[in-house]
Amino acid sequence: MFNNRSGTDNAAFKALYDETFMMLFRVARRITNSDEAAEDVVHDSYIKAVERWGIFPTKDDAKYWLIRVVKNNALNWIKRKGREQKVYQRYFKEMDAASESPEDEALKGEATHDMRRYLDRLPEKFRMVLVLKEYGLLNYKEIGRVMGIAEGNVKVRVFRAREALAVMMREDGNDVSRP
Amino acid sequence: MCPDRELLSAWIDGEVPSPWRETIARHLEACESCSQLVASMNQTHALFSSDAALIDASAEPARVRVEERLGFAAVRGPATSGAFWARRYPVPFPVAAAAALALAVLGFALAESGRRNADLRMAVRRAFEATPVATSGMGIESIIEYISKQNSAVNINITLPPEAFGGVSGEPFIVREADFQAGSRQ
Repeated sequence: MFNNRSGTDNAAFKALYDETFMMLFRVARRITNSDEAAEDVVHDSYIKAVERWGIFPTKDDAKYWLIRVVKNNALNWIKRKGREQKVYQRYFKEMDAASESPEDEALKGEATHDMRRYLDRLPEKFRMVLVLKEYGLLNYKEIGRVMGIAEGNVKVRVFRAREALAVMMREDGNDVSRP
Repeated sequence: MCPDRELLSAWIDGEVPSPWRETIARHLEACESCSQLVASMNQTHALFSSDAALIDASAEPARVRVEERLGFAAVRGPATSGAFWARRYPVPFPVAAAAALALAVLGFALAESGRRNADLRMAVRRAFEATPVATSGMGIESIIEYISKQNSAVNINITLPPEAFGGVSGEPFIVREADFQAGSRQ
């Protein structure tokens, strides 16, 4: 796919791929809750990166651009899926129960599963900073760069996201801070 | 005095610079309520970490598949912008060297051919160039004699003097006048 590029470009792209794939897949997987969707989202994002390879001054620019595209593509995927589900639900009432994957079913009741469920219930602007923090392993500055917001704003959003999670955990009787 | 909870959240993310980082660490050793809050946040972080590890464990097949789909092994050309004449097309060095050599030979042959053609054209021009060989009043006998002396064929233009066409042609005037007189009514 890169034979019109120089060998240096090919090597740089491969290095970027090796460095970012796992992180991008984790982010896409957590947003979409689907292995197949995450794979497609990440693949499509790399294709877009190749098409725009010349516009990135540095590898970091390409990296943060990729994270932003993966996040946006994954969000678009769940919005599209949500619209499709609404259409199905008009005709098949049982679709509610079928929306969870076998993995979700097996983990139901476990703390990890519950935390994932709480995360999905957070408003998007809080959910995204926490996903990028916990699954993308990015620091506040990097999250700000990806989200296009100030570092201080990231700090506030991460805190509020945690507060909201704590409230949901308490309401479900899962407060880990109270033995 | 307890630090702000937002600051504690940043502290567990390693986002609090020194010396505040150490100050908060010392405070947590002494404050049960703050340490409980931090423990809660750390527990949340640990749950996310274990979830991330689960995803990592299932990501390897996806990584290989995406790598294959991107075609690192069998490379194809990416979409490039701009017209085809503005793009760069890589040419292997041996092909480029052969093309340059062929161009040089072809150019030399063309130049040599052009030079020879020019010489030929000059020779033909010289051969056909008109050469005045006689003066006016030259008779037909002297022309035949001139041709017989030549070793090769020659083109000869014979220019007649303009006064040759200035005289009266047709029947003599006297005859015509006689005809007129003969035909008149008497």
